[in-house]
Amino acid sequence: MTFLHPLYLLGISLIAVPIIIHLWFKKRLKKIPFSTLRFLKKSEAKKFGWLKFREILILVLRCLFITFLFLSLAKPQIKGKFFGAGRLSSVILVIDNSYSMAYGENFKLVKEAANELLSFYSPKSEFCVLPLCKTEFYNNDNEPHWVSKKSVFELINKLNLSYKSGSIKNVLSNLPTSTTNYRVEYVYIGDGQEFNFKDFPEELVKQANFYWLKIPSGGNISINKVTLKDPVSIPLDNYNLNVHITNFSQNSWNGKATLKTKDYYFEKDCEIHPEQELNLEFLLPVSAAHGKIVLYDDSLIADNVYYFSKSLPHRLNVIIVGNDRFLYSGLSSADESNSPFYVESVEYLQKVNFPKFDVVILNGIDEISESDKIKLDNFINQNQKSVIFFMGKKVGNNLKNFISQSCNIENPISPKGYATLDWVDYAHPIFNVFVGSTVLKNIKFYHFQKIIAHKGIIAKLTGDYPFLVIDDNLAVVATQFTPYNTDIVYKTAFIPLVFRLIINTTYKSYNKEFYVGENITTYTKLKAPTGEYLTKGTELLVPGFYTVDSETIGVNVIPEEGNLKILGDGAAKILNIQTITLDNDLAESNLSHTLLYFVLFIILLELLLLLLY
Amino acid sequence: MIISKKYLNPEVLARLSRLDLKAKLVVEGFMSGLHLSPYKGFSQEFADYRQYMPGDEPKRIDWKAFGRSDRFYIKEYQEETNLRAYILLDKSGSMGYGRKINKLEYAKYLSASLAYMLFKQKDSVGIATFDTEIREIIPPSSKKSNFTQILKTIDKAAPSGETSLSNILFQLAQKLKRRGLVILISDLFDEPETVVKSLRSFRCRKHEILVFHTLDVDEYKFPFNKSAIFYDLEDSSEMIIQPNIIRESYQKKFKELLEFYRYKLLESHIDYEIIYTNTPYDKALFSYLQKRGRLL
Repeated sequence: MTFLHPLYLLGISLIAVPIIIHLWFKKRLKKIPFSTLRFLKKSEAKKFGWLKFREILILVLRCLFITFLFLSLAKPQIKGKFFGAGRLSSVILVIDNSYSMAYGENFKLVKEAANELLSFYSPKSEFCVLPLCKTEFYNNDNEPHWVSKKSVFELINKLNLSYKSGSIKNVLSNLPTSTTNYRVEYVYIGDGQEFNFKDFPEELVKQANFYWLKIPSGGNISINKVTLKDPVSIPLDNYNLNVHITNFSQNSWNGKATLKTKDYYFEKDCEIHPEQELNLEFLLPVSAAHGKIVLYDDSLIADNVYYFSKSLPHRLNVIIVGNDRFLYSGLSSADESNSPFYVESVEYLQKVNFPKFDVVILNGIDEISESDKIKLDNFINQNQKSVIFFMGKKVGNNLKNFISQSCNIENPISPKGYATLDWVDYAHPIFNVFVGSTVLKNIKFYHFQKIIAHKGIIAKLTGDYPFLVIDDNLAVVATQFTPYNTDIVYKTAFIPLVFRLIINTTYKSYNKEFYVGENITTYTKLKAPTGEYLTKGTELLVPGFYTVDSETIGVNVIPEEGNLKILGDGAAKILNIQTITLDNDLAESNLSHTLLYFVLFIILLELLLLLLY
Repeated sequence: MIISKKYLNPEVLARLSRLDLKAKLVVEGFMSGLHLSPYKGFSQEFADYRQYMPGDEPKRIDWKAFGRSDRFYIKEYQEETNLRAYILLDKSGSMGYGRKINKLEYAKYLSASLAYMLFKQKDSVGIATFDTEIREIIPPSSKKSNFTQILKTIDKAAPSGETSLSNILFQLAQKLKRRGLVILISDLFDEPETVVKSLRSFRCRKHEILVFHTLDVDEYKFPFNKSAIFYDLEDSSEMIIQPNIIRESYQKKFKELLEFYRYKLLESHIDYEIIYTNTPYDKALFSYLQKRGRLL
């Protein structure tokens, strides 16, 4: 125990005053002769006992009053009990500088906690500071190394937040190579997000103590994803943006979500129950193509930031070969300037000028010529080109050879009549737009052929007849796209499905979003949000909007970084991690207030005793 | 106030030094207040004739003698001693308590007065003083020399020692073989049950008993206010007491004690009189006379 103002302790000697007063008062008491105390003693024995006890109690209380009063004035501090003072070790300090520590003043708290922790160590101890997430802290010229207690403070204070994710496993794989002088121990200071402990090196920490100094996690809310409500429709005036938010904590979250673009600002209050999700919908003008979504908690601390960017995909040139009824009109837009597709149709494949198109849709074609097959093979081997094949009543050999890279087709066609779609892999991005609906399942097919997929079956018909096979940039749909062969064209869901097929097979994103740590190779000019131009291969380190050539892209933190699922105490125990808390194990607790409460209590007790006989 | 009566006040009496004088003044003062002569009705035996003197009651003239001698003679009678009285005076430490006049002083004057009165009535009177044991005992006699001895014994009595009243009473009951009137002057500070028992032992020996429970008003009222160290006059033990805290319950207990004595002694046909040290002596003497009247 230490005292901030130890001089006040001298005041405790004043306890002599009540003792002297007590003795003096006792001496000063008048002596009265009385005939006999026999009856007094007999009748009031209990009361006399109590009075005598009360007198002593009052004296003790007065002494305690003075003692506690001066103790509280001296401001006693109790050191944390976990670490003994003067600890001599070689300490690997893993400082959590991940994005989650940006919440409030958490990163400052991390540094303060680290400094507090260091005060328990002997000046002879040696330290190695390792940031959990990559920063410029250590570069090739500056490998992790041991430093003295004196320099470690400086190193910790130099640490910056990183927008990259990190894991303890990775950090501990890059330890100083020099030998240690003392027993090694590991201390991780951070909020302890579960994914930081992924593949935790248990073997390593078995040989040494691993401590986790817990920093309270601030933000517990995360924007999981931002999506267009209807990615298929071609917006003319407004479009809807869905913001999916998850509350990872055990407590309800009350706050607001703000969406800011260059010209617009939207704000929504929201409440999310523990471990629940919320889907917020913002109606934005088409011109508001990108912006920033920020979640604020009640205290207006930014809990989570998400940069969104919505731009139309690069326009794809689509050629429909075969029956073009419905499909052509389905993929064409009334507003050609904003349409994602430029659609043409021909009856025969030999008429197609392949280099002009990105997507070739074969609809109900029975057979192709040898030369067409070669053309198709060449076409499909190019990047960001795709072929979608809606099978007709027959599949000729050349055609069969062409699609054999993704599946085998068995002849003859059977059965006749129609079958119902009975299984859909809704987890596949193609079906994202259908999630929660039964539209696809109700679709009936009149003509289909049995196909055996090599891989990528994502929907099946009744029996064992795959409906949709995806293999890289070739999709095979086991039915023809005509009103006579199937009633799917009557379902509004099918056009979005085709749209999705095209996107997935050509790998063209419908909005351009990257994550911190990623890099873009196909550009000539890359401008960071800070305004500086980046060289090729540079990782995107800061979230925000970058300019890639003439386009703007959004760069976000990795969604995991927003996921604040904390490692539980039980899990920590299993991993042989010893947890330390700031309040109980390290913090110096000021006992002044407690002592003042005691003083107050003593005053009350004495008043009570004086009133009570 | 009639001069003779003022000496019935204990405080006034205390200013006098001679005990015999005190006793005389008390008794005379008391007698002057009585309407009926205490001498009346005494059983008498003829002693001698005496010439009638003015002032003598004419009814006392012996007319037979007048017939024989033509002179007025009055018959004088030898008064008979018909009462044997024992005064038991408690001189234990507790009797020394009293603020203006202590209990023992009061008891001494009362004893002397009673002795004087008894002596005057030609009754045999004896005395025993005691504290933890019997200190002095003078057998009853109606002689003047005995009375003088009694006064000396009373005068000597000083408060000391603890009370073991019941033991003493048992011993005295053994010693006082001839039946008579036992007058106990004490504060009765002993175990009430045993005190009553020991007094009953007198009754068993056909003694008549008159108890003067001598108390100071303070002992009943406990009028002290400030915290003080109270020390026991008998065993010198000390206690710090806050009177205002315990007064109520003390008074209650003390009242219970007095009620106990009153009830138990009445039950045993023992006359019991509480005499506070500020009570005029006539009250006590009157009690005695009432008792005597009943006895004769």
